[in-house]
Amino acid sequence: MITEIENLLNENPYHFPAKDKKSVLLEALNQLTQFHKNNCRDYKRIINGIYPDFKQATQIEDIPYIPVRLFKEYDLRSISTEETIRTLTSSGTTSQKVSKIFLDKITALYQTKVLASILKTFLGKQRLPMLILDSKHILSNPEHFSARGAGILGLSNFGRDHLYLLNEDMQIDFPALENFLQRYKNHKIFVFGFTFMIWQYFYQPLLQSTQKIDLSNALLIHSGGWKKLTEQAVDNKTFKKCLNTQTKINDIYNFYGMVEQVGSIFMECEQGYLHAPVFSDILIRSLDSRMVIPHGEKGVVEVISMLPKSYPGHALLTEDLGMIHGEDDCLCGRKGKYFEILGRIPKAEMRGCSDTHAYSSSGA
Amino acid sequence: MNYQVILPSSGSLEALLQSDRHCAFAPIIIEFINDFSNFILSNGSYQEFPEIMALAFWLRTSHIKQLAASYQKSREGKIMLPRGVVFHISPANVDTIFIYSWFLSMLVGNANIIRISNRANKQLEMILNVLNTILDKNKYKALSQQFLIIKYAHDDQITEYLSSLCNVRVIWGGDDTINKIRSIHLPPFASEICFANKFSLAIVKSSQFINLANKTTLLEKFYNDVYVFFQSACSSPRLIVWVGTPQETKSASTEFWQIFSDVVKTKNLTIDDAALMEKFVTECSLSIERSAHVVKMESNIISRVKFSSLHDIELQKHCGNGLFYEVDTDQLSDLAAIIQTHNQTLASYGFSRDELKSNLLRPGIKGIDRIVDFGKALEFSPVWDGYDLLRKFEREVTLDISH
Repeated sequence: MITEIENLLNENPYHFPAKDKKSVLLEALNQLTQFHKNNCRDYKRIINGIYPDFKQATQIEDIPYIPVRLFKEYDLRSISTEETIRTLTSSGTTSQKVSKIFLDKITALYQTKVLASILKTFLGKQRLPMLILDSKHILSNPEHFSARGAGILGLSNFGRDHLYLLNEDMQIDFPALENFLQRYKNHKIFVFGFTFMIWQYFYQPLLQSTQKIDLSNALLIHSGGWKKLTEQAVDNKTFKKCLNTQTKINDIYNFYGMVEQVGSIFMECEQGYLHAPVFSDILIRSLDSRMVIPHGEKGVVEVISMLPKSYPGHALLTEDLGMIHGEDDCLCGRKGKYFEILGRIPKAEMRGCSDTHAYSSSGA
Repeated sequence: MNYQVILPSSGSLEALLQSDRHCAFAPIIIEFINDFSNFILSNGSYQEFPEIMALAFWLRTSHIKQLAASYQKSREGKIMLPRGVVFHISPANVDTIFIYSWFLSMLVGNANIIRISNRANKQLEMILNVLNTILDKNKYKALSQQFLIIKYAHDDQITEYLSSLCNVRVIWGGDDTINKIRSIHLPPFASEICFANKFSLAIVKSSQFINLANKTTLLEKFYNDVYVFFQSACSSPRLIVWVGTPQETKSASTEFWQIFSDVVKTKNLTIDDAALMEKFVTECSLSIERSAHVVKMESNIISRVKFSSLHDIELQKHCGNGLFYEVDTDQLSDLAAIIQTHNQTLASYGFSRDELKSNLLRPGIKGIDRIVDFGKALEFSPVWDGYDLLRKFEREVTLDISH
């Protein structure tokens, strides 16, 4: 499994047309399925219970997939406790259950390598001075990373001379910022942050402030989902436009990723589409039939990655809706599927069972 | 006290406490229920709401008269009086249920305080509108003082106060609500009826099903039992127990699901993505925890999860929306051992009354409150969850005088 990844690291992850990509990816995914079946008892039970006839997939869509929510309900891992070097958790409020993702050394290492292989096509080979639109405070517990902490730490590998822009109270440190921008004023800089945090703690204060800042030489990469911004009727276009007006920044790239599949992220291109690199793939399913549906139709997003070795997360049915716009023919020139995310599955009108039993509880 | 009076608009607790009590099945009450039922049945706009239609149908005059007749017969020679004031706490999600318990209590003469859910809900609004329209009639002036429909945000003080005024408290679950409200005192003389979370099942004698000539008709009935409320009603079957030899059950269940799929297909149902996802998660959980197997269907409107034996089955975790647990057994009597207190309805096909009675309804069985034919799972009855509700809402007075 590792050999497959290793072989790809020196290639451009967006240079694989469908046919070439399929053979590489399918081989890795079949191996992962077998590996997890042999090493994770709960995963094996799911395969036995839901995919009893599964032997070997000849298409990506035939790889058994599991709901991403299971990582909140069960400790799914294919490694021993001793081999676990890090546990990632999804960010969530105290009332919600969080996903738990167990990493061993090799999985964590290849997450970083793959992320590097993807990001260097955007950032170049040199490490750039890096501005992090968050507070360093989030990293205070290095053994138990939240998704936010893990994201920052993962991305900070790709920059140098890091400045964490926000203090503990989530206020912009203007003097430090000015200092930083002055120092690198003829230099390309790398800016990273989480979409909503950027909007709330960077863009909004700037809007209120008389301070002018110039990020025309910066490249911003951001992620974390649009849920809260959608509620405020801010979409990707608005987000870019507002930040540009306020800071003159031109290069803004969103990415779609999740704590359950760190590393093999889906970067946005200049056309505004998210792209699957060679390490990962995207499928859109109808939940009614659970079949893969054609490009151009809206459905539930399944994410595929060849990275998850320490936990059975290589094929996950998310709770996001999306649509694939095409494969190998995006105007940006990158190969692979390109798609957009269209929000979350709407909450059911009547609440389902899970813990609440809200409507089975009527007694009637 | 910060509660909102919903109906009657001019109603008050003081008026309710001072109002007169009626005799059981008093003509004015029957007339009121009749008006309520007719209003709904003769108005086309309610037809898309099956639970409102079912309620109106259940309350139709002929049925209430039947109830009255059997009531009179069983109370012959006895002196029965209303308990007084009944306080009903209705659930958030089944909008019509409070009408059943309120009307039954009203039929035996009680005054009723009904706390309805704070959650905005179309069906509830519609029912309140019907009541409002009927109450406009002058003849119901006295009657309208004998009930009070109120709303309030969760507030133990109000619940405590209303509890202190009542003779009977009725709590429509879930279990958490019941536990919470139970911690609030009732007067020592008062009694309580709780409708807790329930889990219902169906049972099929495989050999009988194979020989049934018109299977579609039976499965149309089953459809109503399960899909009208998408199994959210407690009496809706969630587990199907097949009784027969392995060969019989294999052939019966294959045909059952084929025909049932066709029946479901004609209904053009849709289930939203959140519920379909919930079913997928439940299937995975049961594979993990119970080594269950999913039987793939063409569409996930019907989801089937098969358990290897009666002892592996899950009787708690279930998310409705067309999720069917299945298990095979060769003997009806085997089922008794796994029945739990919270098992309410058993919808049965192919077994006689005697078979069911002698094999299941023995003193040791922990649960099962009703066994009904397919198609009747959702039918309300004055005997519910093992309580004779009319009897619970009244008291019997001994008059032991020699002349």
